[in-house]
Amino acid sequence: MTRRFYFAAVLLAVWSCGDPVHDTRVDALGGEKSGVPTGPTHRSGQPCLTCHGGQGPADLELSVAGTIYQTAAPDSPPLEGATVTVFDATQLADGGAPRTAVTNAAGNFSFRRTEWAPVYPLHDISVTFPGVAAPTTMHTTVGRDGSCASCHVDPKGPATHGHVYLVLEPADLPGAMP
Amino acid sequence: MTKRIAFLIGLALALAVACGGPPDDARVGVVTPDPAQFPPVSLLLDHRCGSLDCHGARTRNLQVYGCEGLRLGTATPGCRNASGTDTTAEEHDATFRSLVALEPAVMTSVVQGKGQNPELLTFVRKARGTESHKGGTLVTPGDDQDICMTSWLAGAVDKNACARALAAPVTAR
Repeated sequence: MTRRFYFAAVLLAVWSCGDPVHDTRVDALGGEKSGVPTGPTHRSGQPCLTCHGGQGPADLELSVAGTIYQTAAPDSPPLEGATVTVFDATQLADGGAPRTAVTNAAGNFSFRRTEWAPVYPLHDISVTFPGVAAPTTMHTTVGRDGSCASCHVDPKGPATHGHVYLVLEPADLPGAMP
Repeated sequence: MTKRIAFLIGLALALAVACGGPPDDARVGVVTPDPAQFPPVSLLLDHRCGSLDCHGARTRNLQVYGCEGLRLGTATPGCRNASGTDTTAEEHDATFRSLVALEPAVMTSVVQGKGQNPELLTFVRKARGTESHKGGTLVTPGDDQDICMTSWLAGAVDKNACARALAAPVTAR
């Protein structure tokens, strides 16, 4: 009887340590895309901090991360070499010192938590690219979630503006883009 | 014997009272601040609280609608200055309904008290950071944002404070 009690207590303690909401969110992302190795170029367009936000399953913790695409088209290729600029609440857009990151071949960019733990809200987030004169700027603030794709998902609708892009149309891209 | 009869009568009375209730079509109301004065407050709430990852999410108890975040109908997020459409009257109304329905009894008490003790309302405490708030401390008692909200609760919204609050940059803390 005593052994059963302790066994049940341990089982209950282990079970209660999980977060079913988080687990469901992780599961909803599905498996890795075939041919794309796990690393900085994987899972483009997905909310990075679901796994990299400190609750696992990824060990590497990120604070802000996302994917930038070339155009607003749903099938747009990713944008490599773009600079993403982010201000947090400790920095004014006028004269403050923002953080920057450059997108990789998958259009992904990220800030590691160990390098930067921003104070929310994030604001005046912009994307610049060589050959495009004006930065593409986000008009609103980010209040609590460092994953771009938590809000920026396709298709567009009342609760999302769609994925993050540099220009509306391919004709607006500088030179020949892939 | 008399005690038993008294007890049974008391029990029957208690049951009668307990089983009786308001009619099925009864509604518990809330005394609200003037909805006609709400749009300047609504615009501020949309600007500071209504991003899609915060109160612009349908999963929040307080849901804020507007052009900077969650839209009502088919419009996509984005105001006129971002090639979208500005916040509509229906969106102001949806935010109003969400806000006043959070704590109807407390809202009634604050409004009937002419806006005295606005911190009785959880949304004021959260904005001021005196209660746990994922979005942190957003307003300071007496600043333009605070005056915008509390003046509305008191019955005469300070439109100038709301306009100044809306135009202010995100503060460096």
